[in-house]
Amino acid sequence: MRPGYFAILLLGLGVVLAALGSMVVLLLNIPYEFSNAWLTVGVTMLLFFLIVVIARYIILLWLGYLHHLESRIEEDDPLDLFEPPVTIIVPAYNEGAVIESAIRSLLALEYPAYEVLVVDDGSTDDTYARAAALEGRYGDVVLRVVSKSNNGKASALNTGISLARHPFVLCMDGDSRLSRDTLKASLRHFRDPNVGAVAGNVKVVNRRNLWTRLQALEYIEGLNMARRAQAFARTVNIIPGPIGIFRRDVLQQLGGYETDTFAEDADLTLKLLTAGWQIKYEERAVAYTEAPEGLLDLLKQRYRWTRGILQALGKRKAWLIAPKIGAGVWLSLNTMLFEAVIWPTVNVIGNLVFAIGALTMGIPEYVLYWWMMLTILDVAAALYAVAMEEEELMLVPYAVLYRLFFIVVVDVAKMFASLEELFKVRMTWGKLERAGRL
Amino acid sequence: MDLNNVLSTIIIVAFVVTVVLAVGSYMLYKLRERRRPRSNFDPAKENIFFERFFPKPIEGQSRQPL
Repeated sequence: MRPGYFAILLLGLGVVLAALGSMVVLLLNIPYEFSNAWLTVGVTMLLFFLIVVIARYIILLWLGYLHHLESRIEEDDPLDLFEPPVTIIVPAYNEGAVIESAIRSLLALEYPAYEVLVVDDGSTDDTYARAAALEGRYGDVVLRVVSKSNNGKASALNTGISLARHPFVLCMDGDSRLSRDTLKASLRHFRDPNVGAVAGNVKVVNRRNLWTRLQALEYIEGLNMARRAQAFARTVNIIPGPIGIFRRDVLQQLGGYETDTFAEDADLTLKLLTAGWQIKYEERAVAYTEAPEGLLDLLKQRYRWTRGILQALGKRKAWLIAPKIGAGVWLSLNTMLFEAVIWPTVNVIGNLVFAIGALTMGIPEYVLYWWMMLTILDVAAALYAVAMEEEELMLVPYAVLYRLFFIVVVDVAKMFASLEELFKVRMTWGKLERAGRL
Repeated sequence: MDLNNVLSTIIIVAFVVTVVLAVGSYMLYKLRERRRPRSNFDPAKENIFFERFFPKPIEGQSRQPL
């Protein structure tokens, strides 16, 4: 890590701890008057919220930092080269405009020998023809193209897994791009025979408007920070769709991707975890992907993620209740439930209760202090996470808007999605609209 | 009204308005989804093509098409 970023990382950590301490002091100084039951409930909820906030940040930051240190130590060992052949599976549906550039970028990865397997999922445009024209051998890299009838991404990936010629497979999205050292950085984790898969690092590429910049920050601060912490315990609970690397025989044993949930990547990850496989995270294996550019598409994505995660967890209810193969997997599944349902609900309702409570108690300034400290906490966590990934520092100020409205909008959508999943409201399938920025 | 009160009022109003707008956006999203033509495709009913594949060794290297 570059020295400047290390200093920012330490600064971020310091501010997080200071903000957490201030929150405790603030709460201890609120003039509690438990004159009625509602007030008691409100203050109790607030205390619970505070404890959860503190515990969550401390655990995520600390485990994330340990994982970061661990990665650097492993990375520095030049004698431990492990570069087995890999098949990159590219599911493609109506990607005619971008498939050639996507293939060319995949042929230029830094890795000794690998195969790129494009699975055309019954496209109605010229995706297959354009990809097939490039089929061939490029030095030690082989490009193959197959076509099948349209059955969705999961089916295309399963076809690719069946046809892959190498013992490791990288599953990605047709409209994502990989960093050049993705394979080199991620395959080394498979030296450990207990590791069944490696989750990559997804980054937003179309940072063009407020929504996409906020999502770029969210991926770095929210999603990757949690994933890094889980990786220290080898129990990453979502291998993201745009980049996941697997042992092919493990996928075949487990039956590959299933299509009975709206989050096939989360479902497959849980399959691996509950089968006893360890899952690691590699932050240098980067997939650049397009994030939704409008509010309604963002809501659609989060709605599907939340319901998909709940469906995947619903298939494994028994695993949520008691540890079966160790506390790590049990904790990882419960963390998933917490982050998908409990945390968003607590965030929205907790803040509402606090705002209403502070107004009715005649102490609105406490709302200001509370909000400021949560924002400072978010800004500090953003600094920490951005420094950890050596990302754009210009994303950090967006943490203010992130706290003020982005997280509220997303959490409200998650709450509704959870309710609809609870009541089994019918869901429709559909492809997210992409702007074709890659 | 001092500065603290003004700022806290702004935050409370911003938060409540965001919640209301978030609920409104969600309803708008549901409305949009309802108006879209529904696809007949239901992956849950599709058979997954999945069979074990035994690869042949890759031949010697060349720059010829496969």
